[in-house]
Amino acid sequence: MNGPAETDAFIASVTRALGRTSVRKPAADSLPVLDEPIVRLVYTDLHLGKLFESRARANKILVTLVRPEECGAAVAAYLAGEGVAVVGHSVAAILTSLAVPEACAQRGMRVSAWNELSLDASYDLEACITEAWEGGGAVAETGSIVVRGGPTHGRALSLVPPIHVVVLEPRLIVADLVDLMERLRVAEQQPTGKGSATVIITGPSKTADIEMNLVTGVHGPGVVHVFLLD
Amino acid sequence: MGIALDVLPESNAAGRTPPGYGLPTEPKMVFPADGTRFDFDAAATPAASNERLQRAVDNATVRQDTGRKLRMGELPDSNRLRELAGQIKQHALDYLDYYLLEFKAAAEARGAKVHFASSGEDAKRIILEIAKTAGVSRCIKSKSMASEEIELAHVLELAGIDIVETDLGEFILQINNDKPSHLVAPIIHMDKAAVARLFSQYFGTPYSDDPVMLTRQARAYLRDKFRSSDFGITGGNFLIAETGQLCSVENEGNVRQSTTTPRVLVSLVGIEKMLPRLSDLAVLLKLLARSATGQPMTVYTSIFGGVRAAGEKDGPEEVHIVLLDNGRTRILEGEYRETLRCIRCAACLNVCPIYRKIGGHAYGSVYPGPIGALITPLFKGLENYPDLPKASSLCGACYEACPVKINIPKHLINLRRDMVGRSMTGWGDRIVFKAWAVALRSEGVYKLISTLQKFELRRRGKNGWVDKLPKPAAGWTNVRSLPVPAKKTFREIWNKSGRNPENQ
Repeated sequence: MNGPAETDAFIASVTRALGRTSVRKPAADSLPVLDEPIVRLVYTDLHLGKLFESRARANKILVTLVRPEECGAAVAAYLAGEGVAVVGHSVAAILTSLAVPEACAQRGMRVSAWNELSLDASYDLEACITEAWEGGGAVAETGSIVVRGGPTHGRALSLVPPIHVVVLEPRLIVADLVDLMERLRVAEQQPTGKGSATVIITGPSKTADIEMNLVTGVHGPGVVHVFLLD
Repeated sequence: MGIALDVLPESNAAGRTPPGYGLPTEPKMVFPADGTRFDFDAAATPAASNERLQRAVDNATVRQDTGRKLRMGELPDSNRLRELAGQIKQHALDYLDYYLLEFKAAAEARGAKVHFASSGEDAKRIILEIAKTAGVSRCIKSKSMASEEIELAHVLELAGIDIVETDLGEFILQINNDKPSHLVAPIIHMDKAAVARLFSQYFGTPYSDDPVMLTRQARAYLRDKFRSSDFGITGGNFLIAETGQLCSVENEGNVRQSTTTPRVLVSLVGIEKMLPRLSDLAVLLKLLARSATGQPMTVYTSIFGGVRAAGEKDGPEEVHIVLLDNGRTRILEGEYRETLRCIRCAACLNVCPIYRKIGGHAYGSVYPGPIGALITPLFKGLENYPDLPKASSLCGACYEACPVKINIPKHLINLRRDMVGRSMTGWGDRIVFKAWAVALRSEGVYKLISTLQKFELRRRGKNGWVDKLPKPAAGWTNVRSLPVPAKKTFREIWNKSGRNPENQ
């Protein structure tokens, strides 16, 4: 049931149920107003970077503050310490300019850009390194990271490896969900904006299905490690 | 569509053997088929005396409810935020036809195909046809209450599609041939020993009841399924009219898998999940995870829709969004419209003294607890579920917990009123209440009855307590005793004291 006639019949049944005879466009002022004091982050004595850091840590996201020039070495040292041998990375400018993939390669890891990997091969990665979304890469209010599929990396890269490393520029942190949704709405209006999946990540993959016992690393990364440029 | 109704495989829920998941064959739980009457007493009575079940349910509900209260307290004004969330959902329902059209146009601009399904049968036929046309057969399915409602997985399984539930709890239910008993924690009725026995049998591995081991085992098994899948099925927590996108929340990552690997993606969503704007998510997301599990946000909030963009290497090439009515417009029509605001957070289950006592299966439907007691009779007919509106103490805890402020107790009372209006109450009830009405209208009759009642209770009383009464009061005294009425009533003492102003 997907032809225009079926659609019309379906919509007509909804219209009837609403007690009307034709579809009515809601008046602009009938939309509930999102009152700032109750929906927004209205007060904090921390700046956004600090707030993000503390809330992300509360969500069990690892956060390391690092000077940009030391970022590559720090990421490589962390991954080497975790025994990671196979790494995939996005092709974001920030990773290239900080030479993060090179630093990992120098440590002897097998390093591939996401677009050199087949979907199947990405399942064999032991870690991935991505940037956060350029439009709004982190949310201070919720302590979340935002990733979005697109030209720099696909959807699987940040999902299937057990460790997800994010290099986050502080300028990308937005205050709250209202800001993030506005950024998304604007991005969606761009001709190139459509089609991709946006994911707000608020911690490592986990489940509590079995007797409420918390187990991390179910189907997504069990570790999310943010290197926040200082 | 050219596909005939008889393509739908015959449902044989009793004793079925799903291909590849053959264990165990006897269903653990079967909900009544549409149009058949549900025997609430037969389900609830054994559940109410099942201590193991109550321990498991208590453990989970108390934790989730404690988390909810803690997290709601972090919000600047949770009461007004809930009010606003209710208004947003109500607005979307009040203009649902308009927003459905807006959603369809926006989703199709992203290359998705939007299908409208009037019934569960329609939805299953549409989805089977999609799978056939696309030639896909290895399906990974994430948790979706709409798909449970129409028993989608079962039908696809019988049609020969290798379908696997990928949410850990739902996977356990699938291999155990069981049904969910909670909206958020589907295996709340199982303890870890039960899961351990099942896995040991299913995978042929040594028994271990360590939740970490059990989760690892499921992860390894499901990972191969993800990798080789060509067909993904998801639900959706919200539909965004202005952008034609879906929003889905989860903690495990299996929804993300479903929207990443398979070539064909089908999302089955009830029409009431509509939100006008992306920014409305800022309100609803703040409440959903808090109300459900006491998390500020779920681990993954996916906002997706449409086919993979140019330059993308993964994500679906073919996207179908199936919007399900299945009784929803009927509810939209009348005074119960507000019940469609529900975002399936299960906060009302966790606070409910009845749910905590009998668990989810005793409600005879995939929607248990207070909200289930309300919407199941609306979906499946009051005549088939006449006991559910009465399965409530009307204490109001559900209304207080609801993040979209559905007045559940009020609507349950209205359903009881509907039953009286439709003469659905038993003749015994009717005679008793008729007599009660006569007594209340006449002071003389009322006094006579209360005198007789006092006399009878004193006659039966021993050591100040009445331990046993005949039917219909027997059910009450089976589990508690009644104190013998005082020698003198308050009114008698009051009148005698000389302080009653009416007598002066």
